[in-house]
Amino acid sequence: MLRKAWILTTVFIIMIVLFSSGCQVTAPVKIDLQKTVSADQLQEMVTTKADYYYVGFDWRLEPSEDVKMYIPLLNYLERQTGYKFRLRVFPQDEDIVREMVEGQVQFSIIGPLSLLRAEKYGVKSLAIGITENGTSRYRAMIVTQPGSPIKKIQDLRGQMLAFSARTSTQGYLIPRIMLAQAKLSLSDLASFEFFQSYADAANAVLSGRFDAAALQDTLAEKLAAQGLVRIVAISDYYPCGGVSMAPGIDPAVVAAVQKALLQFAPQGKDQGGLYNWDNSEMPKGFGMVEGDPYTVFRPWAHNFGLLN
Amino acid sequence: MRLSHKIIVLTSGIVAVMGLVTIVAINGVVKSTVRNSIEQNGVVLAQTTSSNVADQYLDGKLLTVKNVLENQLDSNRYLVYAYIINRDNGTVVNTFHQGFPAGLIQLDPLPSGSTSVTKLLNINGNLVRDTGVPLVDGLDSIELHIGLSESALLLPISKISWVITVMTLIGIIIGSLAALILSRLITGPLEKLTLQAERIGEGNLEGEIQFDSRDEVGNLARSFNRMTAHLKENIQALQRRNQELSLLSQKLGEREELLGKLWHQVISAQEEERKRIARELHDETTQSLAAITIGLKTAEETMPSDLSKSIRLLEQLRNMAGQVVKELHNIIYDLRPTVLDDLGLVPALRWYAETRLGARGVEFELQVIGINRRFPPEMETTLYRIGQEAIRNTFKHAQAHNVVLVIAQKENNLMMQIKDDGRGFVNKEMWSTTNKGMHLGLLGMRERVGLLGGIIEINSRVGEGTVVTVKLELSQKESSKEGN
Repeated sequence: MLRKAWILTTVFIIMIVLFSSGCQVTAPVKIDLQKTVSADQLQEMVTTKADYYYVGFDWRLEPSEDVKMYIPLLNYLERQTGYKFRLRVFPQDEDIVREMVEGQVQFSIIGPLSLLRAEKYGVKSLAIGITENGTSRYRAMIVTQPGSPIKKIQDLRGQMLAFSARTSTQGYLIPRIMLAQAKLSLSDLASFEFFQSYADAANAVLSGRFDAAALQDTLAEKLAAQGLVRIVAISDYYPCGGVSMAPGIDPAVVAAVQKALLQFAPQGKDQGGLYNWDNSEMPKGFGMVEGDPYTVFRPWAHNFGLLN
Repeated sequence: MRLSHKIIVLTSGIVAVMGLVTIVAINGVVKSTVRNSIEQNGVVLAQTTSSNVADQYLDGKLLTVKNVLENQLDSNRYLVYAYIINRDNGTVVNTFHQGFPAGLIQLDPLPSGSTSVTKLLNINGNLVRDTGVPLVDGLDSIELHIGLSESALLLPISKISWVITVMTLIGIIIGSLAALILSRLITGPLEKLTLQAERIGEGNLEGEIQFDSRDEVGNLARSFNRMTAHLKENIQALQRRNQELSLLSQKLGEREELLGKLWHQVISAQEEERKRIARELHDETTQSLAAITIGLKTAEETMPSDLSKSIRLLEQLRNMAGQVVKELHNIIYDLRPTVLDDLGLVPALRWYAETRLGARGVEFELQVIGINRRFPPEMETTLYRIGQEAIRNTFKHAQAHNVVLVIAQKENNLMMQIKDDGRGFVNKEMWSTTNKGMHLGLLGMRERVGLLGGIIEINSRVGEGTVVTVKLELSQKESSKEGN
């Protein structure tokens, strides 16, 4: 009888414990809200001490989309080189050239215009992108709404034009060249505005806020194929962007990164894990930089005052 | 333990166990499910929030991001905090108004490549499920964390648990009362049955259990009553059989006593018979033979001198010898008349009656009906001896003047009747008569008839004579025989 009572009591206690604990298996971490830290203490406690190589980039689409697109490339580089890479995102109004010069970024995925602006600080091109046509060249296109009275580039006179970022080659430099070649200057436009990305510039036209937008060729062709826009002007082919490096980086690291970039096959063996890589300026990977491919841009950039 | 107590304990135990099982199930299974749901919802909410604020955060619009997070906090009452921590530059955007808690910094950073991590925090006594996700997939250096109050989300379940606990206690009380009533309903009749069983055990078979219900207990009570009635009948039957056996035993004792007396009488009769024979031989035959011997000697002595006298004497002696022979003949006939063996029952009884009754002046009449054959020796001997005893009684005790002997056969029944007009006796005193010789004679007749499976009836009234009737049943074989 006593044994039965003990068993029943034990079972009862176990049930009460389970009842009170709710089958909690992990002990919670105690946090005291009264114990706070200052900004300096926070920075000291949080900042990563690991030896990373930071990679910057020019905004192309939405920053989060750009991050998702470039993170797989960094993972690839880590696997191939054994070094650690981390993507560093800057606000649109922050100059990536200055960050490279100040050593905040060691590598950057930038277009020709940014590279031209940084050349004087020792930034060099490490690899040039290969576009969908299998070359290292791309174009810019000017689009309007399908029913727009603008039929050709000359019709932009007195119209509102949306550019992409001011540092963008496809979104600004090449369209400026196109305008110049059509004997149009910015003052011939009713107005113009810079947007953070090609997507924002396209939205400006699609929403009717602007009459036309200057876009990268791949995005313009995609929207035109969907019937959302009409292409009214197409530029010549110009050398596209790639990966650049800041000065002072270990040559061994540079060599390893360059080798990995040249072996990168986004439409082949390295296709797995990529995110919308077709939207980048190097959908077919990277090629070797031969000579000075960006000579064609220098006079234009200089004339437009973009190198200051 | 009493049955009623067992039922109460069992019922209360079942209710308690079921209540506890329910509580444990709610606290274990439901809470676990809710926790999983909180975890999943936390991940979804964190990822949704991160996708909402990622571009603005990456574009450096930190104030806007802070407003978005605070708006989210206001719109979701289970959301305790939200913050974005950048491990590259050591900055944080958060909803804490009193400063960022140091404890949150000490939490491990997101593992590289992971999409989400949850941790359970105890923030000033409240359980909070912290969910951390990368601000953008793959960008591990910038994490967005949200804290969902698990205590608040589990509060309804805790309330339900307490409600169930109270209901379980109420259920135990109601169940115990119901069990008490139920046990009374069950054990009440059982207690009656127990009392009745104890009464039966004490030998008291009177009384029934009055229980009219149609349930199992009612059936048991009715079965019990039937069992009691059967038991009572069986005991009464046994008592009757015992009484019968006692009577039989008594009769057997009397019979044995009578048989003892009979045997004594037989031995006495045998000795009497021997005495009679000796006496007759001594008083009559021996005297006659002595007289004959003396007469023969006298004749021998007188023969030379007086021949004529001797001849006369010898003639007298010859007559005397003839008388002796006759006496010896009577003695032999009394022992076992040869006429019974030679001629059968009817001649033997006629001879005996005529010789005995005729010598005493008693009128005798013999009626023979339907008999033209001999019967088995033991049957003839039995009837002869009974007739012999009855005839003897007519002149020895009844002092009758007329005796009628009837011997008749009808089908397979043989009947012999001796009827006299003597002084008779009281019928009921027949077997208790003080006349020892007569009493034993009657017993002897009954025993002889009994040995052959027959019936003897003796009817007598004082002053009206006696009728002795003997009936024997012939076997099928004997009854089918014709006379020879």
